[in-house]
Amino acid sequence: MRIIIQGHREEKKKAKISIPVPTFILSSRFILRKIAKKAQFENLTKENIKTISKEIRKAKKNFKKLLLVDVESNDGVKVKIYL
Amino acid sequence: MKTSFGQKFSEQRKLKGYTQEQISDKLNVSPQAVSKWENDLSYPDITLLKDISILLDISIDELLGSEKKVETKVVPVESRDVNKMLLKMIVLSSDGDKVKINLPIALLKAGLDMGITPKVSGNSSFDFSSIDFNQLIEMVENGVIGKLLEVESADGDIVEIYVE
Repeated sequence: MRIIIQGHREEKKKAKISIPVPTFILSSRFILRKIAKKAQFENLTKENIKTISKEIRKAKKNFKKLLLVDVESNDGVKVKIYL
Repeated sequence: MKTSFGQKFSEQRKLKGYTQEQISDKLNVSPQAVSKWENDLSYPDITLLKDISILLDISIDELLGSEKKVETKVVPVESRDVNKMLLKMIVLSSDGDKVKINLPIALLKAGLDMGITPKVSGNSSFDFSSIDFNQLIEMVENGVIGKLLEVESADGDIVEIYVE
């Protein structure tokens, strides 16, 4: 996964930050359990976390470099998240 | 904002996983020529457009910057693979903010089964909880693809949902 943040359009030198996030972190059941606990998703049982982890790996395989989220604010700040 | 030929070409090439060298080999042009196309310094010969369109799996209209026209259609059950489909949500807020979300249908379905519904936070006043995503998934499973939903709120926010 990669998170790319681009700065304000009026900045002379647009800042561009690219943050690589290893997929194993995203599809790790341990991390997903922690996220579920933090976000208070009560329905996320061990079995559900296993399914989500599997689906993330499958999506990564089926859609190479999938652009998951593309946000552009009216002042030109862009945030892109690639799987 | 209109996308230039170079931007669209580069975006689609990366999406398909080709390098500039691979494209140049397939089209019998130099890698420098491909680089120039992507930087909008020059354009390919008109006779190459058809080959580029086939190679990158994109229409010539889209390559040249025209907006993609998405229609709703029903495809036969045997010719669709839900695992390779994407749910695209586009939110254009009246303030000028744009949010595009691409979710693999299989992942969305797994989330819905667990009671997790997609949420888009931000300036848009549109209430995503009013969309019945289970109904949308059911439509997709019955073969409906293309534009599934288009809503314009009183504040001028536009929400579109496609399946591709």
